[in-house]
Amino acid sequence: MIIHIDSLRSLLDRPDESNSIFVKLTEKNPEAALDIRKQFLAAYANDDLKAQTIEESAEATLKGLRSGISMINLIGYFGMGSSAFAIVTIQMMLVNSKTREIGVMRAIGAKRKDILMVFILQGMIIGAIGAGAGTGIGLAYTFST
Amino acid sequence: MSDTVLELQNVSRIFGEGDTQVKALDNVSLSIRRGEFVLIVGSSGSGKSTLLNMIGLLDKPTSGKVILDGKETTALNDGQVSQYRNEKLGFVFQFANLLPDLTVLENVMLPQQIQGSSEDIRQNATDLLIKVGLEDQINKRSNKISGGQAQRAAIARGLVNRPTIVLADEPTGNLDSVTAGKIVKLAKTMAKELNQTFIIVTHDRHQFPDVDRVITIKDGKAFSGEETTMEITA
Repeated sequence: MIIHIDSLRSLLDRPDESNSIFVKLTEKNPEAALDIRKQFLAAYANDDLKAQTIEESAEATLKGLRSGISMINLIGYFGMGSSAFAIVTIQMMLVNSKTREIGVMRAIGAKRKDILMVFILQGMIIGAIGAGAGTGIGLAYTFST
Repeated sequence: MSDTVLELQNVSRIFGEGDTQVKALDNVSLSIRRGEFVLIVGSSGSGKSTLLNMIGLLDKPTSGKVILDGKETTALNDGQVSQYRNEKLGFVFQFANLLPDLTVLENVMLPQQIQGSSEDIRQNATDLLIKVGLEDQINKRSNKISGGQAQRAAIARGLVNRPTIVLADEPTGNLDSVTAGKIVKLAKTMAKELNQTFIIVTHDRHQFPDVDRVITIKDGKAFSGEETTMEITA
């Protein structure tokens, strides 16, 4: 049975309250949902009504949700990029301030990769401390709100 | 074991290209024997530091050969050069260049730690520090000791691996004359006690009055003297 929403409002005595009708199918058949939408729109072709399957309806909500998540991800990526850039800058400053020590280490036999490892390890430690602190602060903030 | 520990054959080092080309070393040939205490002298910009860099395997010649302890070094790769430098060479710089975050003892232990030596590294370093008169400073941070003490520690660090050659670049250049005199005396004592070859680069010949040999470098690229373009004074 297909009924116009205005008729339904009159029947239920809810003149300005109901603004949508949900139609539940007895069997799981997406094609049937499309048929019913077609029949509904054909029956009330002159009315400005909108008919959507549940998937289409959810898509609109999901689109908003995805947009929100994308924004959160963007902020996250920006944060990670900034942190990586900060670590690289700190490491460059450290390397520049340690040129004499690096020269001494090279002179007494340290290989390039030995010295590189020192700075990579240092960067990893700074990164790990930052990630740990960031996770802790993030979790604390999440659970406090 | 060969008596010659270092041989330079027609070594040249050219910096830059075209019109800006500078020939810092020009066809230098020399040899150093085991146990010699050799002075390389020359004015500022004469090429003596370039020569020291060649001997110390810190730079490669544009042409010629550097033979250290019987091995031609110019074809070695970075890892091999580092290992060779660690095993065969000890460095003493104008500024002691101890690592400031480490103690005096840790600084002296460092070359053997890099080498991965199985010897008692701590004991070796301690023995040497006692020999250079720093027994009271062993556990002090290296930035908490005087310039003369730091240079003594640097000599101990240069000797700890029992290298074939100790290279010293202006080792007294940053010290007052009294302390410099003590450092020179210490270097000579260590050279004699350990039959250790020392090559010292300096612009001040008079700080080292009694050495086995003096090699003079002039004008950045040419040595005065005979066909070898070098003047060697016994």
